Formats: sequence, C-alpha cells, structure tokens
Amino acid sequence: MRILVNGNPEEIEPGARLRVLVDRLEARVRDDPMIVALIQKTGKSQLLYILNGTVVRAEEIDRIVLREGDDLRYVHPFFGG
Amino acid sequence: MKGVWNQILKIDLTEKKAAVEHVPDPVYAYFLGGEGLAAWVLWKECPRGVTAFDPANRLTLAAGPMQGIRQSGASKWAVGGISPSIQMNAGSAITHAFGVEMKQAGIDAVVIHGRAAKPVYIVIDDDRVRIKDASRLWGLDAYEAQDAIQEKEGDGFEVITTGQAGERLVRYANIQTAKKSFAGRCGFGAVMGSKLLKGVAVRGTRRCPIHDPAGNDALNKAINRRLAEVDASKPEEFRISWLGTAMATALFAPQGNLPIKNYRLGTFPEGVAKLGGRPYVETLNAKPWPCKYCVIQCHNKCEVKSGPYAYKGKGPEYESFAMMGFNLLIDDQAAVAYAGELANRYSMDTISLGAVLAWAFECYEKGVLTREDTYGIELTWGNAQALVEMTRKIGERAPGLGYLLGEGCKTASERIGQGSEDWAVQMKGQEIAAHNWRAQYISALNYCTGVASGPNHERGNSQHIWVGHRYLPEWGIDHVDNEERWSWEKAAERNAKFHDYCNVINSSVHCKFQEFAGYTLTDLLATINTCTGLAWTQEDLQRCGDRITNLQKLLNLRYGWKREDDFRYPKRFMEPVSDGVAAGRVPVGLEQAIVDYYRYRGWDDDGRPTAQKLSELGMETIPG
Repeated sequence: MRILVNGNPEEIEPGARLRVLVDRLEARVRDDPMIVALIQKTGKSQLLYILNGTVVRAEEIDRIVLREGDDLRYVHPFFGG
Repeated sequence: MKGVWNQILKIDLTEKKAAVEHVPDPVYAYFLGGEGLAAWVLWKECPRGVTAFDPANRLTLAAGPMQGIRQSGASKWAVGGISPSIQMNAGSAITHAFGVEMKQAGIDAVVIHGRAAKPVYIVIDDDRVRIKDASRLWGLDAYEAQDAIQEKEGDGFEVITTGQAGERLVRYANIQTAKKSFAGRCGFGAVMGSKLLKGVAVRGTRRCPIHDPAGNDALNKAINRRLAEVDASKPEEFRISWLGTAMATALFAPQGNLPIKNYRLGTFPEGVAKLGGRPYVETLNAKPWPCKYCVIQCHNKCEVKSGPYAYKGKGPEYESFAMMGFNLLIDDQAAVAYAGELANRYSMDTISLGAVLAWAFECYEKGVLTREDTYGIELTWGNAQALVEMTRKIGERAPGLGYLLGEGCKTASERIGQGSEDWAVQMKGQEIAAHNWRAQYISALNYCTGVASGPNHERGNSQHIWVGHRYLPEWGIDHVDNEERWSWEKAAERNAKFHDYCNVINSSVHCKFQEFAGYTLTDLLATINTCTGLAWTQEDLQRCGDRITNLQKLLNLRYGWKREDDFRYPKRFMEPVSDGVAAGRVPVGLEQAIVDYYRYRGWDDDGRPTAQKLSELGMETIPG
C-alpha cells in the first residue's frame, strides 16, 4: 500500500502499524551527528510525527494502523537561526 | 488578484510629496509582494549608477498577500533597496506588526525616495500621509525614537526607526520595530539615515479582501493548532517557545557549524556550556515575546537584574551570540546579551558587528592594531568588556577605529592593510553569517552565489538541510545523508531551490522559522492560494521563486556585479581548523560548484541569465 511521507509516496505492507514506518525513518537518521547527540542527551531521536495533520503522541505509535493514502510528516526537534 | 491592494504609496522626501500608484496584477502574479515587489520597484525606478546613499535610491517597505491573515508567521514583512554594504539590490525581512498595519492602511508597500532638508519622520494614518519634523528625535537611539513617535502620534501606530548608527551611516545599520525585530544585514538603517529619515509610523483600519476567507480561516486555525502542538510536544529544552533560536548552540556544536575565534577554531567547550540552552533562559530570565499571531514565539524578552551588564529588553538570537560570543571567544552570556541590546539601540546588525570585531581582535593579536588604535581597549579574545566598549565606539562612530569599523571589515582591511584582508571574513562588502562552511560546503556555495542580499544565510538557507534537517520534499529535497554535507553532488540543485524557496517566503511574506515547528511548502501554497485565488501548483510556486531570483540577478548586473565577485571568497574559506568534526575540511572544488550552479539555473558560465532562461520564465519583458 502507498502512503505519503513528507509528501512523497512510500510503499508499506497493508495493515502495517505506524511503528514500522517510524523504525524505518529513524534508521535513516541513526548516524546523523545531531541525532546521535540527541540520543546521547535524551535517550531518543526526538523526531516528531504528524499523521494527517495531527501530532502523534509517542504512546500512539505502536497502536496506529496505517491506511492507504495516509499523509505522514516528520519534524526534527531542532530550531536555529 | 485578491490579497493585495494593487497600490503602493510613493513618498518623495525632497519634494515633500506623497502619491498612491497603481500596480497591475501581473506584477504580483510574477513576484508576489514583499522582497519580490521591492525588487520590482528597483527594476522600474532605479537605474544603473544609483548608489545606496543617493537620494534616488528607493527604500521600499513591503507587505505581501499574507499580511492581514491570522496565521502564525504572517506578521512578517520586507524591506528592499540598494544596500550600503554590497552596493547592490538587497532585501531583508522583519516582523511584529508594522507590515500588517501598513496593509490595513490600504497599501501593499511604501516606497521612499529623495532626501529631506532636515530630519523627518513619516506618519501614515489610513489615507492621510504627513512628513513631520524629527529634529528633536535626531541623536536618539532607536527605542527612544520609537517611544517619542508613539507618544506624539498616539495609540495604534506601528513604528519603525533607526538609531544613531543609521544616522551616522554605519554600513550595517538596521531598522527596528517594536524594540524586538530588525531588518538587518544589508544596512537599510543607513539608507534611512542618508535620507534624514528617523522613522515611519503607520496605522490602518481596512481589511484587504482575500479570495477564500472561509477556507483561509479554516487553514489558519489548523496550521496554528498544529504548530503549537508540535512545539508543545517537544521536551522543554527543545521548545521554540521556551528558548527561541538559542537552542541552536548545543546542536550546532557537534556539527562544527559554530563560528569560533574569527572562524579559526572548531570547538569552544566553555562557550557551548555557557551560551545558549538552559543557561540562556536562567541567566537572562528569558520569557517568550510573541509577534502578532505567532504561536511558536521565538523572540525572548530578557532581564539581567544586577551586575555590570544589567538590562531589560530583547534577548539575543543565535546569530547574535554566535558572532559576538563564540566568534570573539566570549562566554559571558550577560555581556553578550547586553552588547547585543546596545547594538539594537544604536541599530547595528549584530552579525556584521561580531564579524568586524573579530577581524579587529585578530588584528590586535597580530600586532596590526595596537592600544593606540583602540582607545586603550585591549582587544583580546574573550574580553567581554572590550565587546561592550567597542560596540559603543562603533555606534557613536568615534573618530579612528570606531568610525572605520562602521564601514565594514572589507573597507577596514583595505585601509589598514598589512595582510589583514586575509582575515576579513566577508564577501562583496558584507560579513559572513554564523554558519560555518566547513560543516556543510553548500554554505560556501550559498555565500558566493547569493543574489538577494549578498552572502546571506537567510536568502538561501540550505545549511538547514543538515544543521536543521529542514527539507523541501515538495520540491524534491527530502532526507539527505549526513556525509553529503561534504559533497558537491546535487549542491547546485539544492542551492538553487533554497534560494527560490527563500524568495517565495520573503515575498509572500511569511516567517521561515515556522518551518521548525513543521510548517510546510504545502501549507505555504494553500495559504497563498486562499489569499490570492491564483490556484497555483507547487511547480508554479517554484517558478515564482525562480522568477524573483532571476529579477534579483538582473538587478545585480545593473548595479555592477561581475563574475569575479562570486569567486572572491574569503581566504579563510580554504583554511582548515584542526579540531572538531569538520577538522581538515575545506570546500575544495568551490569554483566548479559555482559554475555548476550557474548552469543548473540556466545561466551562462559568466553567471548571467540567458535569453532562453528569461523566455522560459516569461521575463523577456518585466510586467508593469
């Protein structure tokens, strides 16, 4: 099934939970020095996920089942001038 | 077209005349508003040969289609004209509420030219325009002048002013509003000074009709709610509303992005521990200070209650404490904040101020400047008192070094000589910002090729691909691997897209910082469409950015830009640091990357837009 990740199509198994996609996305940034620093400091990547315009709470990631056409955005925690 | 008034207010200070002029729809469809509109004004009215302090220079204060809607980030507005630092066209974005008020006065822009016979300020009260005597305001700092104008004119006016640095033509003097936001970098405060213009007050009562009010209202509510929710979902120390841009320190440090000791070091652990983050909030008693409609609230109001640096007012942004702290090896948070606020009152851009001082500190270290030159002040690395005292000397344009540093470090190094040009970290007359090119080579490419305002980190903020993980997925830039920060592959495309992106943001006009709470190009496009009725696609939006970039490039050419200007980068670009993650990294291959960028844009190898490119953009002739 196809969903949108940051506006771009991404294939995922039908019926997959959001956790599957989150793990996939977090693997992509695992070696990033900023993410490494965040994990060292806070224990987490601190990526935030927005599904169909709604911010996903961390405890919901395992529960949410993705559907065809879902629109997922992820936001890094960082902000700078 | 909806969302704009199709008219600008033109004020001639020499003749003391004001007139409203019609602007046709195609101008907005091509260049939107804000910085795009300001560039169009220069194209139409400011011929070759006009320089920054020439009365013929047009100082444009411009809103865009977004001003007047209740969306977080839509209180931004823009300033444009010929810059005293780069002597070419430039733009600068500023916030709070002046742009909204200007729009409510029934105009999309105020275009000021000429030179007053004596100091004046302008009052725009809906249709009524007055040019008033400012003799008693001349010599006041920017905040004092704002207070005086607001006291005189009454409630409801939004005001811009410049301080003594603007009056005295410091080439990086800025314009301030609301004692918190600044049109910085390119010296528009000095353009005000050259026109003997101390301030502008505006008040309006009208609402500009937009294409789809209900759709826009629903969109604003959804976006505002989401941005606030994203920020609130973060741990406290990463909340924009808690810390603002001071968050950057801790996360830029491991990436080698900080400017340290005039860009000669890769690490400064004492500074990282003391500047930014929790120490910022605690030392400065920082509290959020939101702009109109903004939910992310990155500005801070601070108070240092005791000690030599006691003050109450604006808290420094990342760029300010990076350039005035890290770049001078100063780790005293209160001193940096105090000097920053002093600079704000004089109206000096804190990036350039930090850079010219770093140049002077290095001169002092190398014996090129001595105590005789520095009023007896020890310009030694880490000397916070020297920062404060020299800020005053430059703001006052004290005879000697204070005056010279107000010219910027290009001119200062050319006058002082003795090899000091080698450590003047500037391009085209403007000092480089607080993003280290060794941490991501694309920053070097951006500094070299920027057309909108010299080597400006916010007119092509491609550094955020890595340092902020800001992507443009709708335009084909999504997750980028860390190692690519030191690669030229795709750099031309990314650099071009970020230039165009900044142009549509600065012309709509919207706040780029909203993106750090998840504001997207999809949000931007939907907002523009509900305001204007243009029914654009992402391709149309990108094309608009491309058009504005090309117009700015045509203006660069008009005002004397030459190909070699892009290749005269600071010598320091190719000097490696020996510590930190970017140790040993220098942007070798930069020259070819510049040419690749020209080609990607459809320009010739001399960096000039080709006839074919202009034809593709429908710019054989410029509308209006």
